[in-house]
Amino acid sequence: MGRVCRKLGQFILIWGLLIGWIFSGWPQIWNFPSKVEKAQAAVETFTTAGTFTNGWTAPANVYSVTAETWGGGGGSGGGTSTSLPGGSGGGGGAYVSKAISVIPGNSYTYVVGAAGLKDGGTAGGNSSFTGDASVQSLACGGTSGAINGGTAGAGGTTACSDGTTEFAGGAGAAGAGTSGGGGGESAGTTATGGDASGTTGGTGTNGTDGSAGQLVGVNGAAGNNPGAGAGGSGRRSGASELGASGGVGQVKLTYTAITAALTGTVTASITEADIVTGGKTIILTVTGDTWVAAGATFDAQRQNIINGIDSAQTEGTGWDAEVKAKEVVGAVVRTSDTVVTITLTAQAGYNITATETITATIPATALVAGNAIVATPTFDITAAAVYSVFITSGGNIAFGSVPLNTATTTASNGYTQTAQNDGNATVKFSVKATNATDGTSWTLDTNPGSDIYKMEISTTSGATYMTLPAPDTYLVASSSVAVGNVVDLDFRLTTPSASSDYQQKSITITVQAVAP
Amino acid sequence: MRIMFRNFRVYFVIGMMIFSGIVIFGWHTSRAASTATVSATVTATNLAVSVSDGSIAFGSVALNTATTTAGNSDTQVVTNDGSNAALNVKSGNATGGTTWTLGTSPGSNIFKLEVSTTTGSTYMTLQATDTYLTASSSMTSLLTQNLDFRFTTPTGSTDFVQKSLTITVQVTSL
Repeated sequence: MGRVCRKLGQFILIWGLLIGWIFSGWPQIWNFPSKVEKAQAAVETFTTAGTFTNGWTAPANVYSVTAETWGGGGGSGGGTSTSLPGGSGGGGGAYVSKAISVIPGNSYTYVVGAAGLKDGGTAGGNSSFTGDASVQSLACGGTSGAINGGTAGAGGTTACSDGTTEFAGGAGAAGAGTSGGGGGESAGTTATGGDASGTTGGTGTNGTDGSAGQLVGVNGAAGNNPGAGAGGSGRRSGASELGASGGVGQVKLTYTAITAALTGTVTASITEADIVTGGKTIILTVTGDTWVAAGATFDAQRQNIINGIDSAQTEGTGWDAEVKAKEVVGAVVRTSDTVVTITLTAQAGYNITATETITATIPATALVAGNAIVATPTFDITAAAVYSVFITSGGNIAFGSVPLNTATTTASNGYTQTAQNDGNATVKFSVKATNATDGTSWTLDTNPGSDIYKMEISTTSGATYMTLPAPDTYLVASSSVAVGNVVDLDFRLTTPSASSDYQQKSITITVQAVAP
Repeated sequence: MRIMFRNFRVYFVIGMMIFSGIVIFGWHTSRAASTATVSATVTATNLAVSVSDGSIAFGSVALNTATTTAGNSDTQVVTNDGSNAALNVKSGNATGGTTWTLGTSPGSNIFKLEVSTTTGSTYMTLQATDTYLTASSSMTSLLTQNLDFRFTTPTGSTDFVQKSLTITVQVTSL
């Protein structure tokens, strides 16, 4: 039974130690995969006709936008004659797509083309988005169909438009017989809009279908949004039949913010010692962009990447001086098109007194799109706790000549000592004193006697005292002193009841700062 | 072989404990303590004096005649039993029969008393009865000082009985 218990105990101990090792962070033998986030495209669609000067502001980290525009659809004609055909259909608006450079924070103008007016009136308006350097995505509107079977509206043309991908809108059909002509289909994103045929509105692509031509005595049918041509009215029957407006154009902006995530073991509450030891990793994962090509192109950027990892602090032996300036380019590895891993080299000279905050800015030259990006989050390096005390009051006490068996205190002689916590962590102050030397020594004790003196300490300006118990034995004077705070220390010395000599005695009082 | 394996396991466990201790705690060390010192000085004071042997016999001395302890082995040895101090001396009148009064010059029933810290080379005159005269302005702690006294008898005396006087030695703070 004992043997089984012993074996079980060993088993638990060994596995406990191994697990502790794994999670202690050094040396790392368990590398959790970093979380890689996919870029999430944002889409904004504008459908209200009009000109919006500086109406759109590029969000942070957005350097390029795909602007899709649809021109307004043409209006349709009406029927004003009882003997002529119905009104003709309007043409569909064109479609354009174009990637346009923008600058985060800058504002840009877009135009949503108005619906074409009826009865051969104004054509559908052009839709556009204008980015940097006046580069634009412009899709033209379709023209409006005439009354009484006159000229049908034409689709917005690619010749008029300006973009990378361009498709023309479908043509409207002329009114015929007693019916109006159908409206043209707006251009699709992948094909030209379908032409209307007779009363049938244009269709067949992924554009917006044109409205149908109407029968005798029926007003024209408005074009659908975005950008479809209106259907013509039927022949007049009684009062004139009215034409209709085309569809309103549209502007659609699609963009992806370029971001960079900073992960790796540096984000796990690292300390000064971790940098000294080395081995911590910084993983930079970009989304919406990629690192420049592997090989010589990327290698040439490794130093720039190191230079971009910067401390908010400026200690002489801090990050900038000991890591940024000394890290070797071999530490920077292009793990994939979107991931770079930096394994920090040991930096023995790294020594900080306060927490450093490190920010990684990926240089523009290291990314394909050529835009610098700040990785998030930052990470902190915690300084080792420094417990330090400084006597700001000179560090000397002259009690002077004191009769035997008499107490004298610094609280009343101007020799109050001030101890300051000049470290970087909260401390406690303890005090000890030596025997009094020179001539025959006086021994420190809790009561005066022959060649025995007593020393007390006060942190209350002499209101209360604590007695030092023995030579070179610390007594806690103040249990918690915040960084930068001071404590006034007064000392009360009681001379021996008898002394073998009357020489001046020297005593060394030590104030110690340690962890509370 | 079984013993060797058991020893290996023991060493392995101990090794792992030490290693884990280093890993968990060793790399997170802090600069643990700092000290600052204050230097203090103090000097005890105590006023104490003793005289040896404390008795002087000038013997029979003719009128208006000086006699000194410097030549008769009655030199008094004063010991400063305390801290550094000033040494003072005073004398009462000489009693016994008709009193002789202490004065700075001898006269009828008036005697003169002088003190020397230089074995009789130089003397200082006591000015009046029971009035201290500083014999030494700085007498070191625990050291001795020889005092000699020169006594000058009156020029005339009402009687010729033996006279007694008390000399007091005092130490005072510097």
